[in-house]
Amino acid sequence: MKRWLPFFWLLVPLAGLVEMGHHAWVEARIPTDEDWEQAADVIDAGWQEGDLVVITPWWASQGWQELGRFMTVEQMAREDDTGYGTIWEVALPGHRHEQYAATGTLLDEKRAGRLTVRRYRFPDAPTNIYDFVAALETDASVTMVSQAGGENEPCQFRAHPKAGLVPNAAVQTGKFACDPRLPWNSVAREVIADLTNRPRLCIWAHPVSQKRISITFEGVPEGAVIEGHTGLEYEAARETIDRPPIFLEIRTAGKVVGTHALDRHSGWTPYRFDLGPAGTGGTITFEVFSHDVDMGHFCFTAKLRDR
Amino acid sequence: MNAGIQSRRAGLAVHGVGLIIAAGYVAVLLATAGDVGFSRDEGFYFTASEHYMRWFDLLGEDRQTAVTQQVVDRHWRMNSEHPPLMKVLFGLSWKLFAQKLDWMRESTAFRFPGMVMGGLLLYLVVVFGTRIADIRVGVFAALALALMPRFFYHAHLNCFDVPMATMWFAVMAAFHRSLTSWKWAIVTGVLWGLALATKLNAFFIPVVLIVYWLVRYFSEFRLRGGSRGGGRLALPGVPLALFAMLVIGPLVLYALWPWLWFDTLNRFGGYLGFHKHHPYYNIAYFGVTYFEPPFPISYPFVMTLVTAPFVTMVTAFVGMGERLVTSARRIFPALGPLPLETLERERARRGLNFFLALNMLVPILIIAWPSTPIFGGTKHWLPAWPFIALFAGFGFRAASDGIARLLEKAPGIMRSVKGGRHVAAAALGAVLLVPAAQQTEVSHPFGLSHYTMLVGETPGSADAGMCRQFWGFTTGSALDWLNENVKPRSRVFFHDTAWDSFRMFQRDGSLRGDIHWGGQVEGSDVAMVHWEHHMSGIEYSIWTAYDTVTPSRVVTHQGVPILIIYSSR
Repeated sequence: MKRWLPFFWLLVPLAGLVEMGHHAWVEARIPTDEDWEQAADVIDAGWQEGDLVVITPWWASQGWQELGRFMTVEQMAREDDTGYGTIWEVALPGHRHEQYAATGTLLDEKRAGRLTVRRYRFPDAPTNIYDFVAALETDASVTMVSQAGGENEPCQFRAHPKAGLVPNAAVQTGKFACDPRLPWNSVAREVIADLTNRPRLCIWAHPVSQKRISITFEGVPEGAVIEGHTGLEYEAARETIDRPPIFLEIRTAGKVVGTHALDRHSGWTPYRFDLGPAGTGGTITFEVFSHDVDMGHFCFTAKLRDR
Repeated sequence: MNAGIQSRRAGLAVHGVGLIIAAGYVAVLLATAGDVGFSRDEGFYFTASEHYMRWFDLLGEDRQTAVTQQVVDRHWRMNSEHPPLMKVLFGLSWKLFAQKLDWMRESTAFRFPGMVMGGLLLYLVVVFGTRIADIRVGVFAALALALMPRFFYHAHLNCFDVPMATMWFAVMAAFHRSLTSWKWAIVTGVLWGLALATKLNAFFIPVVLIVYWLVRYFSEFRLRGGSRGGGRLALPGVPLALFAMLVIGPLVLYALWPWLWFDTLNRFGGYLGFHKHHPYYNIAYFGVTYFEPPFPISYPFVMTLVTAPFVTMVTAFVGMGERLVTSARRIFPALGPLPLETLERERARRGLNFFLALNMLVPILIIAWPSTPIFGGTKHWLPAWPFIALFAGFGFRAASDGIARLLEKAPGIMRSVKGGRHVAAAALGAVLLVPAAQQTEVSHPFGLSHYTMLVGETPGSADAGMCRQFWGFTTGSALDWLNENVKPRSRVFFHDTAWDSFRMFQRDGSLRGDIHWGGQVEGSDVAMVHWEHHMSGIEYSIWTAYDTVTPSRVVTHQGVPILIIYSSR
């Protein structure tokens, strides 16, 4: 041992060499603009409408400069990846989307410079029959239902003016204003940041004291299940975790299909209700309520699926 | 104490080396300042400095009016939550180098005193390191400090963090000399006053010194029996510098800060209260964004390890180990007696290692306390860094001696190279400093975004969920793109960049004058996001407003997005 001790000092310059070597390794793995262009070309060659593109790791959003043309705001702010039959993964060196690798079928894998483009097929993906978020402005009516025996109050849809400081029509052309004096007291399509700061396109429905926000869709086709997610906008989610839950109750033909309670600390939370043989199609109503409505920046998604 | 400086001539040479390093560093900072965008705080200090300069103008014209409370308040209320020394220096530099001589851009002139303070710190490290050890320790420590990426970033700014580190180090170096010279005690008092006038951290300096005194002289505390059976505690001599600090320090602060000339106690209380009740801003750390206490105790330790060059930290740990073993061998000869010369030198330096360790640890421990705000990242314990660098200097010296001893066993090699021992030391220095220089070069101008080897550099930090930036300073890296691509008279949403910083870009001429400030995404033509995890909602609101998820430009650092720019259709 003692014989080798003098050689310990050689480890000090070795640290310098290790750091330089590591730096060269890091730099060699950084994709260039050309790599992203190549990846876009690979996708372009096999792209079909409805495919989804993801970048792994998520933070490498430089890639959207080239890949953004394959994506819409709705896709970027999707509730999850369920329902997509084909997903293109563009991965940085050493990265791979574990869930896709575990549940999907890898159709092909191509190199694009330092990037890897993988195409996964999900043959068991359920079919989206009806997207309640997409249909909100066209198919829904909104009412504030009094829980204390008072009158129900309809929330009128107010289209945004054509010009001015308003969101783009792709996400929202207007709002169901339940109380025009209170911007939060409305129902609308919104893109929120959830507790993990992921974007989510969803139906904003802030609960109101002593009332239920009731959103009714007419002429809904038949399906087997309704599934979706609920969550709070980021700031509310992180500041109100100790408050009581917010409820989302789903009814079809007047019967309660299920009630989902969003625990405020649980972030973006999935729910799923089986509609059963008799309760499908026609009129479906979503009701939002809570015993504590403060900071109830509640948002939900819902899709009617075949399984 | 004067261990490393054997003669007056040698002493002058050390000062010369220190000055060369300092001047070279300031020159590099000046040459690279234009790349570093203006942080939020810089914007506020630009404005405050101009306010203060208007008061100095008035003082020159009408002294009696200038010192009235109404006039003092009007000029010095601005940014009165921070003491004035650096802001005054920023302003004076601006008046001289930008307004009068036209030697520098306005922003560079404001920043210049901060750069000089960075250079001054390197000079002090060379001199102090040589004094307590030898020139190898002093020079290596100064260069290791200069080549810490975040130190290099902060040394560009017209902020207080590097100046505070300089003042802290100056007070400590002066205190150390004051143990053998009453003149240095007076200097210590004055320097502490200047430190108080620089930044709040200065209040912790006496704590360090008192702890040092208590521990260093612990064995000299005595309980003496009284003639009537009672007891008296006999204290060791209290360093004169502590008295000087107590008397001179507050006077210097008061004299330099007109804001305190009226309603002094209330305003001083307000100054302290501002920081005591400072809101907690957020910081991302391993995937969690912390908004309020308790903050992770590990934060300052880990952040130091993952933002300083790996090789610097290894060398510093080697230095700490060497100091520990040497101290242990001095105290317990059974562990292996030191050579006589070394033993005498170490005896003369008794307490020094503890003094260095205390200065390294206290600024870090303050931030490690779970209720201390951590939003400022590494800059809040910057006073610790010169002492880490000094340990790295000791590590370098130990390694270079160790390798020389190895080479002596291969006399053929040593003989074949003239001055083989020095060549070996120089080669070792290069192997240890080149990686640090490389990290610093790569980090520029994204100093706050850069991470080093232990977390996998910046891409690894993104995987780990670390803070990518704060202060909105990276707008500076998008100016060329904005100037070339933004349509005339367009409105740009600058996200986290402060209005004062935006104005300075235009005053400097680095941003087109027809580009308008957009206070919100809606209604803007171009919008940018300084990517921070907790502010990602801003990017989503841009998608919604512009109906696109395709950025026009993404500014990256090592492939990690820092600034994302969208254009409306």
